[in-house]
Amino acid sequence: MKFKKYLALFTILALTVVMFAGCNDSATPDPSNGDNGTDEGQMDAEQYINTYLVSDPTTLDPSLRSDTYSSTILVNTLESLVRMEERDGDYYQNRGDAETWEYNEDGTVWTFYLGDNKWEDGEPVTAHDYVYSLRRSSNPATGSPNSYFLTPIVNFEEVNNGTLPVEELGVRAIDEKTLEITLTNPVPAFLSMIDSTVYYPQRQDKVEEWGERYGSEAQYTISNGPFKVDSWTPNSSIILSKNENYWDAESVSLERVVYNIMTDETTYYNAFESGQIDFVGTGRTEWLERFQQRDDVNFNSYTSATITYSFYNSRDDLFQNENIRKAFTLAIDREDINEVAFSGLRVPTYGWVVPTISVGNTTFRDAAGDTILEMKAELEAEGLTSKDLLLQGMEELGLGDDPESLNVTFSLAGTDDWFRTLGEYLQQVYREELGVNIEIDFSEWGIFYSNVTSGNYQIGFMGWGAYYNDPYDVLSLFVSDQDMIETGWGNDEYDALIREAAKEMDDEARLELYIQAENILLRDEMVVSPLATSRVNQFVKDYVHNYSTLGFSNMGLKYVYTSGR
Amino acid sequence: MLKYIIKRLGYAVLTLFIVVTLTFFLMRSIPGDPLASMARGLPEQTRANFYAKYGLDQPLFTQYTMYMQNFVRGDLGESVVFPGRSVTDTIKRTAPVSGLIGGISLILGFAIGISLGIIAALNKNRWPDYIVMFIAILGVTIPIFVLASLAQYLFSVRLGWFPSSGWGDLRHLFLPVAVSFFGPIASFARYLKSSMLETLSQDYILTAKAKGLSKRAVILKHTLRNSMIPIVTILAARIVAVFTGSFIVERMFGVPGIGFYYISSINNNDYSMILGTTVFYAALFIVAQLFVDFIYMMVDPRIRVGS
Amino acid sequence: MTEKEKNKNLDKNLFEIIGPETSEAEKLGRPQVSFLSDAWRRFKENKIATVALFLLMIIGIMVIIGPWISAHEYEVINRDRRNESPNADFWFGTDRLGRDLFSRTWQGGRVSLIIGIVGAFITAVAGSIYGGISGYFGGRVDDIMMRIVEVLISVPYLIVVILLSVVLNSKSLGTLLLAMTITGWTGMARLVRGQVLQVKSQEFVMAAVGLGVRPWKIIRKHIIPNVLSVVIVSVTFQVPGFIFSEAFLSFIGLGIQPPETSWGALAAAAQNIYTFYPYQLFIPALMIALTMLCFTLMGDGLRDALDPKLRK
Repeated sequence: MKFKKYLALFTILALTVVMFAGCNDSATPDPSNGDNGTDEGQMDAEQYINTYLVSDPTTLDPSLRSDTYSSTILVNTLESLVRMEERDGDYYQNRGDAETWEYNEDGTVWTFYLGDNKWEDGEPVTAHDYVYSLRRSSNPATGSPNSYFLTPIVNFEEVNNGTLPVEELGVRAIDEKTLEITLTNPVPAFLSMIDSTVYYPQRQDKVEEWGERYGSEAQYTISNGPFKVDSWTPNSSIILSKNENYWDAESVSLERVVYNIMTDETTYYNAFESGQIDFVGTGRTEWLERFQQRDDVNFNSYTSATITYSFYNSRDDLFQNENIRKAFTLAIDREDINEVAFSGLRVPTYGWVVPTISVGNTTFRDAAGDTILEMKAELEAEGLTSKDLLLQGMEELGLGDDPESLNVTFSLAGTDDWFRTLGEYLQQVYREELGVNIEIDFSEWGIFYSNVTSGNYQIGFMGWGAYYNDPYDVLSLFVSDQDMIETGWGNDEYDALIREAAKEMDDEARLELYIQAENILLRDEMVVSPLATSRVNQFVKDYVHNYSTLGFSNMGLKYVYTSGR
Repeated sequence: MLKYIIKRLGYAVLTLFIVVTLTFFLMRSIPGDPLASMARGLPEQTRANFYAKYGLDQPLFTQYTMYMQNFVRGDLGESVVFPGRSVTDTIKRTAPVSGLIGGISLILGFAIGISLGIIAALNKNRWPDYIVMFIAILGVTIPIFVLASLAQYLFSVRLGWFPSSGWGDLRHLFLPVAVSFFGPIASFARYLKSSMLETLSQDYILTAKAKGLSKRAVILKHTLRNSMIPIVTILAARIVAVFTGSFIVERMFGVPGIGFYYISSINNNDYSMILGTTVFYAALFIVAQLFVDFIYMMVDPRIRVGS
Repeated sequence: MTEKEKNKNLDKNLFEIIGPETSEAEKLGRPQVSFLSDAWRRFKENKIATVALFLLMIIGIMVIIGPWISAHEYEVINRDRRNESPNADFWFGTDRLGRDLFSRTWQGGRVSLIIGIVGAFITAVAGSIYGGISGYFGGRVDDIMMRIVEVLISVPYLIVVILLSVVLNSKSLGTLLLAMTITGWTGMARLVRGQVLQVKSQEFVMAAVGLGVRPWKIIRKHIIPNVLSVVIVSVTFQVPGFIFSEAFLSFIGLGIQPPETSWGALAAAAQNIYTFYPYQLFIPALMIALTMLCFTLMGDGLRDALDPKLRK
C-alpha cells in the first residue's frame, strides 16, 4: 500500500511539474459561438480567419524560399512592385509598391515609380530595398534556389556564377523612389514575373543585423505587406496580424489570421467539420460530396496551373523512338485515369500548356486545340491503335513483335497509397492496351529525383506548376540547355522558336510561335505525356468573403472579411 | 562504484562516437539530397551555389571531419532544409513537448499497468484476470494510426469535447495522451503478471506464507520487488520512447514534438537534423541503460553488473 | 467381552495383503512422461489457450486457401465496382480500385503472418542467444555486448530500411524482413540478459556451480526454464509488434509494395476514408486484433505449460 501511495503522490507531483514546463500560452481563438449576431452584409465585430497549411514553411526569407507554404505566407506579408488581383472574377493588375511604371521603346528598360508604402516599423519602402534584394538573390554566396527567375536581368548569369560583382546586376535606384531594371531582351510577361517572391524587397539593415537567422523565426522577419508575422511556432501554427503601416491598410479587414499546421488529411477534414478552420481543400470525392451537402459553405472550385504528366527518357534504348513514346502516351484514356486515379477531381489535359494560360485575351488551349485527342482521332481514322504504334516503333528498333518481351519500369515519386493506386492503374492499362507488363518503382522523392537527374529512369511521373500567366513559363523548360524536365531531349528548331517568341511583343505573333513549338514537342516528338491539370477544390465557410478564385491571382487574404460568423 | 561510473561514461562517449559516424555514412549512402526535396528543375549554377553554401561540394570525408569538429564543441549545426534554424534549438524546443505527452502516458501506463498486472497475477485464471488482460490488450490490438483517427473522429468531430489538433493548452493534451498510454499499460501489465507468477511459485514465497506473513507483506515486500527486473528493462526503452515521441500521434494531432522531425528529416534528407536527433536519442538511451543497470542492482542486491 | 478385546482376537487370515510389497517400493507410481509431452498435456487442459491455438490455425488455413476459394483475383482492378460494401459478389466488399477485399485480406494475411512469425522467431532466437551469453558471462563480455546493442538501437531504423531497399534494389518481403530484424532483436537481447543476470545470482545456481555442474547443464536445467516465461511473453508481443511495424512502414510508404499487400497496408490505405467505408478499415484491423489476442492467450498458456514448477 505504501508503494502505491507513493506512486500516486509521485504521479500527481510529476504531472504538475511537467505540465507547467511544457505549456505555453498561445491559444487559438475558439470558433465563434454566435455572439456576433450581425445582419447579412454587415461585417463582424471581430475579423479573424483560421486556416491551415499542410506543412511548415521552410523559411520566410524571400531569397531562400523554395516551397509553396512559404509563398502562401509571404504573399500576405510582403508586397512587390505590382500585385495581381481579381475584380469581378477577372484578373486585375493592381499597383503594389510601385504607383506607376513605364518601359522604353524596345522593352528592355523598365522604370518603376514607388508610392508611399512603409515597412511595419514605419520606415519607408525605398528603391534601395529592391536593389538590395535582387542583388542578394543573385549573389552565389546566398545559395538562392529561385534566383533563375532573375535571368532576364542584364548580367544575372555572370553575377550568379561569380564572374561579376553584384553591383553589375542590371538594377539600380535612380533615387529613393525610382527603380530602374534593365533586361537583356524584352520580356513580354515581365509584369507577371515580378509578382513573385524573389522580387520582393528586403531591408538591408535588418538582414545584416539578423544574419543567418533571417526568416527563421517570427522575430526575424519584417513586413511591408497587408499583414505582419506575430508568431511562428514551428510545426504548430503561424499567426499573422494586420500591418497598420501598409499603404492600402484601409482595404484590409482582417485583424488576425491563424495558420495551423495540419499534415494529416483526416486532421484538417475533421478540423473543418468541427469548425476549427474556415477553409479546406479537398482531394477526395467522398469528402467533397460530404462537404457539398452542408448548407453553410461555399464551394470554390477553379483550375490551377499545375499539370500532371509523365515524361520519357529520350536517351533510353526503348524510349529514344518517338513512335514508342506516342504509343505509351495515346494508350492512356485521360478521362478514365482522371476518374480512377485522380478521383475525378482534375481536368484531363491534351496539350502541354495548361488551360489557364493565355496570351493576351486568347486562351492558349482554345487556339492550339486538344492535340492528343486529335492525334487519337487521326489514328482511329486510319484504323490503327496505340499498340500498332508500339509495334511500329519496336520494328524500327529491331525489337521483334512481342510487347511482353519489353522491360519497362515506370518511376513514381512517392510511396503512399495515392501513388500505389496510380501505379496499379497504369500497370493494368498498359497490359490491356499495349500488352506490356510494366514494373513500378516507388521511391521517396529524393531518391526518385536523384535517379531522374542522373538519367536512371525510363518513364517518370511528375507535376509542374506554372508560376505566371505566359506559355514561356512552361515551354521554356524544354529548351535544350535548360532541360528542366530532364528528358535529355533537345531540338534546334524548338529552341529557335522559343527564343524568338520570348522577345515577340505582339500577342498574336507570339501565340503562333508558341503553338508551333508545342506541336514539335507533342505532335512530332511526344517528348512528354500530359495527363491532367489540377483543380483547386476548396470549401469556404459562407461567412467568409473576398477570397481568391483564380489560379494566378496573388491577393492572398488582403481583401477577405467575415460577415455573419 | 565511482570507478564503475567513470568506466561506463567512458563507454558512453565511445558508443556515441560510433553511432554518429555510422549514421553519418549510412545516411549519406542514400541517394538524394536536401535540395531535391526543396526545388526542382534547377539550373546547374543555382545547385552549385547551394551546395557550396552548405559545404556539400566537399569530399565526404572532409564533410565528416568538419561535422565532428563542430560536434565535439557542442555545435550540432543548422538545419539544411530550414535555413537559420539551429539543430540544438529545435531539439530543445521540441523534445519537452514529446516528453510531456510521452511522460504522462508512461506514468499513467506504469501506474495502471502495474496495478493491473498485480491483480491479474493474484487472480490467475479467474475472471478478474481475464478482464484485466482484456483491458490491457484492448488498446494495442488496433494499430495506432487507426486508434488516433477514431479518437479524433469520436471526441472531436462528433462530441466536440476536444480540439482535433493543435497545441497550446490542456485540452490539446488529452487526445494524444489517451491514444498513447495503452501501449505502456499493456506492456507493463503483461510482463509484471508473468514475472510475478514466476516469483510466486518460488520456494521462498511459500516459506514466507508458511511463516504467516500477511498477504500484503508477501506481495509487496517479496514478490513485487523480485519481479521488477523485466519491468525495469522495458522501462529503459519506454523512457527513450517518451522522447522519440510518436511520429503518428504528433502528425495527426499537430503536436510540435521531436518524433515528427525525426521521421520527416529522414524523408527530406536534412542531414544535420538527422544526425542531431540521432545523437539525442543515442545519448538518452545510453543514459537510460546506465540507469537501468543500477536499478537492477538496487532491486536485487545479488546482481552484479559488469566486471 | 468389550469391543476392543473382540477386535484384538480377530483372525489374521480374515485379511489379505494386497500390497504394496516392499519390493515394489522402488517402482514408479505412474508412467514416465517427458517434459514436452507433459507440457502439451497441460497446455491442452487450458481451455482458453487451446481455443486460441485453434483459432490461429483457422486463420492460418484461411490465409492459405482464402485467395483460392474466392472468385476474384486479389490484384484485379474492377473500375466500375469501386468502394462497394460487402455483398454477394464481393464477400468483404471492394477497395478504392475495385479489388476484391476478401482475397486481398487473406493474401495480405500471408504477408503479415510471415513477417510476424518469422520476424518474431528470428529475433527471439538471435536475441535470446545474444542476451543469454551477455548475461551469463557478465563482466567485460557483458560490457562490450551491451554497448554494441546500444549502438544498434541508436542508429535510426528508418535509414537502415531505406538503405537496404536501395542497396538490394528491391522492396520485397525478404528485404523488409531483413531490415526489420537487423535491429529488432535488441529488445529481446536486453530482456533475456536482465533475466539471466537475476537468475544466475540466485542461490540454487550458486549451489550448482559450487557443486561443479558443467555450465551447459546449468544453463539448460536452471536458467533456460526460468528465462523462458519472459521470452514467451516477449514473443507474443513481437508477433503483433512486427505486424504493427510493417503497418507503420506502410503508413509512411515504405512497407510492402503493390500489388502485394498486408493487413497493415490495408489498414493504412483505409485510414483516410473509413468514415465513408468503415468495413475497409474494420476487416484488416479485426484480423490484426484477433491474431494478437490469440498469440497472447496462447502465449500465456504456453508459459504455464512450460513452467517447470507447475509440474504435477
